[in-house]
Amino acid sequence: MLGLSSKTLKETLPLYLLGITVFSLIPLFASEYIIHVMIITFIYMILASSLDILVGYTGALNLGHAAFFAIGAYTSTLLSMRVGVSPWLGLIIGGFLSMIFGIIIGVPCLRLRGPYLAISTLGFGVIIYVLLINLEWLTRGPLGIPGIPPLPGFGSLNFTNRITYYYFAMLMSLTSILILKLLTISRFGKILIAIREDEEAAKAIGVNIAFYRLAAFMISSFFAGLAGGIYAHYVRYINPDLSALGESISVLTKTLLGGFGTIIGPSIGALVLTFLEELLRPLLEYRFLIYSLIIILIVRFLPGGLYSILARYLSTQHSILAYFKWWSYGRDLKSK
Amino acid sequence: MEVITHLDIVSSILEQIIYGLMTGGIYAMIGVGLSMIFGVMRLSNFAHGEFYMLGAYLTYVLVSYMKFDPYVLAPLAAMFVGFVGIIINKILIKPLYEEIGRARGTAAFYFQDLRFILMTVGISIFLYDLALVVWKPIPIRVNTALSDMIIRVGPLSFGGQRIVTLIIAITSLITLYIFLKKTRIGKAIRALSQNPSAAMLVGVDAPKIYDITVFIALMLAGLAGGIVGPIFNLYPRMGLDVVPKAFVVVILGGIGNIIGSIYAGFFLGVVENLGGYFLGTEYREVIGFVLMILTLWLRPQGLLGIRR
Repeated sequence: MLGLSSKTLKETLPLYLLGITVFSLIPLFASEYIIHVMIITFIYMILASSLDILVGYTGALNLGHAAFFAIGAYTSTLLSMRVGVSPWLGLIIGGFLSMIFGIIIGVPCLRLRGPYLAISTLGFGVIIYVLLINLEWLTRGPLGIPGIPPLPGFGSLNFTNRITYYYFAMLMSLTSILILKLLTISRFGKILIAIREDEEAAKAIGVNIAFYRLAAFMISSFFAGLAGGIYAHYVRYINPDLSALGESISVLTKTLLGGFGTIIGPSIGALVLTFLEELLRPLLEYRFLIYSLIIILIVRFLPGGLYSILARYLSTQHSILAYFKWWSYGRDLKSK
Repeated sequence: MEVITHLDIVSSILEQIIYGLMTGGIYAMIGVGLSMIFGVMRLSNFAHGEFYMLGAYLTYVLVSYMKFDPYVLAPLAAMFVGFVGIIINKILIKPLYEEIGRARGTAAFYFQDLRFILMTVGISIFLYDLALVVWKPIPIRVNTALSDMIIRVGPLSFGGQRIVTLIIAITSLITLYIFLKKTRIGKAIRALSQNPSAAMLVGVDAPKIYDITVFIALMLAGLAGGIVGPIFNLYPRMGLDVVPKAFVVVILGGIGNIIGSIYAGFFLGVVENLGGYFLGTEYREVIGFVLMILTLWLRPQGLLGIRR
């Protein structure tokens, strides 16, 4: 129907089932602390996978992805605190407002490639950061907004309870990843890949490149905004640092570590790096030293990311692997 | 009464323009290097600002050990930064370049670009955090004998160190200009940035020119860092803060137009200072980006460029 290949689904399904089983069982024996870290991980999983549909599938390096996250968080927060909108609705509106910003930045970026796109998105991130700090009547500036209301519960479901929120975040995260994954293995994703690999050829067979590129921007920013809302109503305190360059870099590192163009890879990267970060918390100063070393080493030696190792065990004929093959094209030529 | 306020506004605008030229000189020194590296190597160096930061801190270290004037020691620090750049180029960029060179001409080019960008982003964050660990996030001011000197021109007055910085910036940019226009190596650099394959056909030794370009570009960035010490505070984030501006300069000057980025640097400095004066300093950082997005949208060939 959507041009989904049942083969790809069959191959990624075991991973999902494994993920759902393991994640559902964690609260049964894990401590409160681990559950907290896992909730943050779920949020980062959405963020990293949403970045992947843009970077991995259209090749557009976004250095301001955290700005979309912050827009979602601020929208949902301000709507629920100032206007009195239900946080549930706020989450969705946050996602859509973030998507509108995705269009605003996406349209001028349609013509840009490589470094210009990267620097423009970096500029967008800085603009949002400066606005969040300076629009004090709206955002309280650098002080941030404390006391954000939690998500209201249904019946016996109480979202101030950590375990309930854990399952909620898990559901949101896995659903988002599934939607993104389905999108990328559908006809839509194949067209994105076609544009990424040979824009001229795609244009020649009648693909509306601007539309697909903008669509990738919109989808990516929507899920980032959604993740921002989920974060805001969990931590219940937000400040402009959410949109800082460091945040964007850390999301990018997660995506890169997991493997571009795989959707599932970035969530693995998010899982690994969030826990690594918690372990390294005493070495807070050195956090970015480690991030940067990971970036340098992955780019140099493992351009396919962690997923490329995993994929080798899953299947050699894996369609997602096409991406990795593409990465190592130069190496293949050499061996020939 | 009214006349006096008018004069006040005029003189403070003039002052802003002079300050703008001074910051602009720094932007031009950083931007021109970025433009050179991009033109010659097709490499967008996101770590460029970090070498500016390194130049500033090395000058500070040299000053505190040797007790000399920073303006004397800045070139020394700049040379050192240039050599660090060559080493980083050899260890991290060159192998990537060679690996990708084999894939040149294939559809994969798009993604290779991404790989280079990510590599320089990695280097940038590494150097930034290294500075954070070594020098701590405390603002530092480098003192010079010129700090107390004040130069008065009519109703305007400037600190001596600001004027010296502007003079050094202009001198080094003119030197670079002559170097690029007149010498053999300078011509090879321009040839490579205009048409790499034709340049190599007529016998330009590309790898050698790459090293020279990296050295000159990073030395300029380091020198710029060295001479801002007496004017602005040094802090580890200064490189990260300046690199977007350097890209703005490259884009305003026209992509691949090395000389254009010199003018663009001064232009950005003046516009930023005037904009900060009229709109409020908190929006100063945004002006450059807005200019850049508008330029990319409406005049992608740069402000001075000719559409090809």
